[in-house]
Amino acid sequence: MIVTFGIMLIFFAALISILQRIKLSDKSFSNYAVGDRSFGARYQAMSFLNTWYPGAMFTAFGGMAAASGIISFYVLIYSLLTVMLMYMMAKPVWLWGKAFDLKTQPDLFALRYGSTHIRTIAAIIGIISGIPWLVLGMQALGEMFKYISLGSMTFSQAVILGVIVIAIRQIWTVRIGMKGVVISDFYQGMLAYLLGTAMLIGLIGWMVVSKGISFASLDPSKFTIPGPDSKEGPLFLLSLILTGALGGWCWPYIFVRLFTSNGVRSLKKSAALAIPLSLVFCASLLIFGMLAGVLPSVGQSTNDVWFIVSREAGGLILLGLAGTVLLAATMGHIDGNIQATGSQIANDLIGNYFKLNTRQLIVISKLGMLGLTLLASWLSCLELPALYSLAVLAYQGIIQLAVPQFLGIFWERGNKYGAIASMSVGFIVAVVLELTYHGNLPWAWGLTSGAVALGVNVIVYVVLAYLIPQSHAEKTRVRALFEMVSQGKGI
Amino acid sequence: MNKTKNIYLVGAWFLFNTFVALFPPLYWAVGKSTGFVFGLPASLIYFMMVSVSITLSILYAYRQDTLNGEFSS
Repeated sequence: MIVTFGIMLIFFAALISILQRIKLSDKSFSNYAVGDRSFGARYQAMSFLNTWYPGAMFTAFGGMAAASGIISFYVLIYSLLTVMLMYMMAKPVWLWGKAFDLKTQPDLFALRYGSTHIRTIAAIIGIISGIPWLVLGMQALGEMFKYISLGSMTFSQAVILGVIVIAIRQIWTVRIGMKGVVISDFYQGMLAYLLGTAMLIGLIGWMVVSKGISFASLDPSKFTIPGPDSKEGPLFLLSLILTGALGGWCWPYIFVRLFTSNGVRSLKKSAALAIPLSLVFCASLLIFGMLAGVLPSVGQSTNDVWFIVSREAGGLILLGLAGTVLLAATMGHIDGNIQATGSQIANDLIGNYFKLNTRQLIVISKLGMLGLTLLASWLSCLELPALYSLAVLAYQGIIQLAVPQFLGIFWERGNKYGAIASMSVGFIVAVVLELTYHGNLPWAWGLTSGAVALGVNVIVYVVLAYLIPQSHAEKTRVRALFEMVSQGKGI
Repeated sequence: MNKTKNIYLVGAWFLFNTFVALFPPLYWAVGKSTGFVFGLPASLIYFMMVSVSITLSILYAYRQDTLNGEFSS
């Protein structure tokens, strides 16, 4: 236990030392919320990856690859399509962000649709939907600490330790804001995805060479993709990939990455840097999981595959490193979530209706982060049997932001009535379907509730775009926004 | 290649990526197979080829944007 916890302690101490060296600045809320839009491509790339791939990748998706096989590759495809979307959105979103000092995703909604209330609606959907995932992230740390303690801690003790560690880490998120998040993401990301990938490739080699495992060792059912005769339904894979790719950019903590870059060039370069890393990391993880599923020691404990194989191959040192990699990945995700939520509470909820100065915005943001950290910490220590269902429900709901978001960025015609109605109707349809059918719609050929609701959402948006034409003034305003993008230079 | 042609090419490549990643009959056909090609299952080859295509399209788009002066002021 001293070895495994010792390795993690060294990582944590180094992280705190990096965070302590960052200069505090409260000259503007932009500095606190988006780091003064000052980050280059390398920081952007690692920050995106560290927020995109949480620690649960190693447990949930590693476990899914071990248990279910090739279907788990949907996460790789949608993760790469997400970067493609980032490349396409980079120019309009960054240019508008810079020109109008946008700091959050709801800020973009308010600008594009010329509406104050849409900012509140988008913020509420984002904040509420993020909480179950925050709690799940904290509880996943508990799973990790339980394993790292070599069985000497109970699950409850391990969860409490995980919550304490992540809550301590948030002291610097609250103090420093976005700069602290991005700089620590760089360090955490190097560990999680460079060291993590090296470990995964090494472990694949170990399984092939020492254990004689190959793809031929797997049951042939692990290579099938659900088709027309499957119990999941013929459109199941399409639904997973589509909602995953579109939904990724609906999370406020992912979207805000588009505002932290120092230019469109950095943003696009970060996509070019992140995508090969994402491909190698995620493919290695899934191949590792599939091959490891054959090991008798993994058996039914597929979610522990990362720890089981690391320990079997490299003893306590590799187990300690496996825990450190997972901790680094988890921290990036949780920090990003808490920081973005704090900014939204100040900027999009309270700041939307009261005139606040810089200091007030920062104080409210800090209080919001503190409150959220305490709330999530408390919830993590409770027995919440419906938590996973709530998280799935939240995901099906939040992806409904995709329609007004993407159509708003790429199509001039949409209006605020269509945007508010489409995401509200989409959200309600998704929630009702999910609560009624619990993720298995018997008439939808494998489409999830969120995917069906997205269809309704698009129809409402497009119909209202034609039924309620923009006023002349609104048309001119929106035209000017799009012209700014088409003429955008000096980026 | 001039800027307009490049924009169309990148757009077409992005559309192709979306099509091969999402078009159900394509993955149904691959997903039924349990055969191996060069020691690798057909469905793995499908997912890896889609992934590599998406990756290369971004790298190509960034290279072309840089060469075409998209980022110069």
